[in-house]
Amino acid sequence: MLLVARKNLFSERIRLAISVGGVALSVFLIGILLSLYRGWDEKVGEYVEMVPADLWVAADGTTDFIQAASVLPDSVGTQLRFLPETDTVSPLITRPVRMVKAGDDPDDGFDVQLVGYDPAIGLGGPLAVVAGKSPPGPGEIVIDKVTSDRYGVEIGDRLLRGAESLTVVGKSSGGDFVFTQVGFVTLETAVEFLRLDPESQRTFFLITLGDPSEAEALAKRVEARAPDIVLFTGEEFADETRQRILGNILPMLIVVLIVAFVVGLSVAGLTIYTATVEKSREYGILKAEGFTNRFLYRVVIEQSLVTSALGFVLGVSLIIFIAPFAQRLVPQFVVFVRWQDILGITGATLLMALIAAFIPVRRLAHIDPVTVFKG
Amino acid sequence: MATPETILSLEGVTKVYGSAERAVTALSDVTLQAHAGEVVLVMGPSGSGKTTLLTIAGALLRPTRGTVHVCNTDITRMGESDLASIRREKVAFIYQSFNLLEALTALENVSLVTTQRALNGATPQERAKEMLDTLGLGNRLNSLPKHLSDGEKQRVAIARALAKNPALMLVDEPTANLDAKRGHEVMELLRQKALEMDKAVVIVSHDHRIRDIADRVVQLEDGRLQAES
Repeated sequence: MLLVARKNLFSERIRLAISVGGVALSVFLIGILLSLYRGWDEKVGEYVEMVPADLWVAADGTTDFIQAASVLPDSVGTQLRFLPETDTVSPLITRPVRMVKAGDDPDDGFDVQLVGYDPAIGLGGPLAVVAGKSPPGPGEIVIDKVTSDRYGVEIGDRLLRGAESLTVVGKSSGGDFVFTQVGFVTLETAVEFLRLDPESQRTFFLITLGDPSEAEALAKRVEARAPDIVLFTGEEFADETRQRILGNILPMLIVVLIVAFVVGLSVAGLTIYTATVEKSREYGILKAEGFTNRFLYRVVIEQSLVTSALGFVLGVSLIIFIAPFAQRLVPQFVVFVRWQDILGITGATLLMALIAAFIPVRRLAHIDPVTVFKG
Repeated sequence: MATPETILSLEGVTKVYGSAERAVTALSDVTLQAHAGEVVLVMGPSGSGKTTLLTIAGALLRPTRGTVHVCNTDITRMGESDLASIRREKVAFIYQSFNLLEALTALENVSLVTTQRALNGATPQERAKEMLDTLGLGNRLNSLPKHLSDGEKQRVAIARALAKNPALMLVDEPTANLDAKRGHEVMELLRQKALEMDKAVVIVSHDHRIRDIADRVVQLEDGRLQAES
């Protein structure tokens, strides 16, 4: 680093701190928002993606798992079983329900995505049991461990919905959708608990195939013959679910990311600009002494780059140190820091540094060294 | 005895600022030479064109008419980067208000401008230290300008100029910010060191007390050179 750049930068400690702080705040905001988005993205699709089904069958018009308005008669399952490619067909009943722990204030209720599945087949049931028993019996529920952590629900507790109740018998993992979690019951319990009428209605059918590579071809064939149903691969359905939930958040996120970038750019740009203006005479002296414009540009650009680099390191450190604490305090604060995002933030910081230096550099070009002769 | 080398030569130099009705003539048909080992004092009141003369001689400003030679190189129509090169290699300035970089120590201020040709195998720091030692500032090497007296600042400025090992030293009102005693001491020191190193020195000033340090005094009034003494 050039001597003048280093000395100018570190001789004004308060200005440097403000500048580095501005960039760090920006990097922190950009990083934490991206990580939050990645964390949600990871969680929201996890259950759908991890269920070992080759195809999800839903009523036409269904777009995702959580907000599914899919209603299918049980007879669809029977028809699907006749397809030569199918190995297993398993029905699922899912509904979002608000529940409250017995003994708690009704206002302390929480959302559960109730999933009724056939324990005899197991498809669509808990991904991994971490405590208690599974499958659940009649009138029993296996909750997600995030529900347990977040709302203090334990094995043996009863969950109420109006006059109906379910007893918690186990905890599983992998069913967290950030703002809700899945809870598993048997099909019969789901029908009874949700008071479904007709009782034969189902939400989805999960299919496993003898040859999973036939999934797409089968989906097209079935959809052509039965236009009132739609088939997704697990990956497609997970993506649709993510898109449905996070698609609304993404535009807001982009706006906040842009604001964070502009904040960092403004703070760094203004501090570097004012530092350059204040040092105009000194840059004039350097010009008079024969230093070229290119040398002066290097001084300013180096200052901007070092400021941004320090801000970047501080910002990323804050993300790494603060994120786990925030996650413990606020369970919905699910972050997933990807190296690709850190690389992206590095690029954004570099861009910030170069833009922040642009206006001061333009000013340098117009400094007249003759002015240094004025007392 | 050999004729001393002409370091600076201004021939019929005129400088006009602005144009048409707003045109102001700062210098008019000025011819002046400075030779190696010579101290030329250009005296004149404020507004007489002294600083314009200095900046044209120092490759900072182009004349409207006339020619400027530094070390036998015609710099009159040179491009910006060539002029910067002349300033870097051939010319050193000493300013009225010292113009040290505030964030740099005395040593750093001097070493920063030290050119490759000045080094003779030394590092810029060694060269700067040598110059500061020569000017009696060996104990102030790591002091920032804000911790130096005005006299010390002016000596750092002289060290900075000498450290470049220029052929031509251009000095602007060197005593304006110094008291009479300190001003005279500094000017004596400048003369001594410049002549030891065979520099051509052009000083512009309106301070009559420093006439005795000059080999030649010229008078500048309303942009025209008057009689020499």
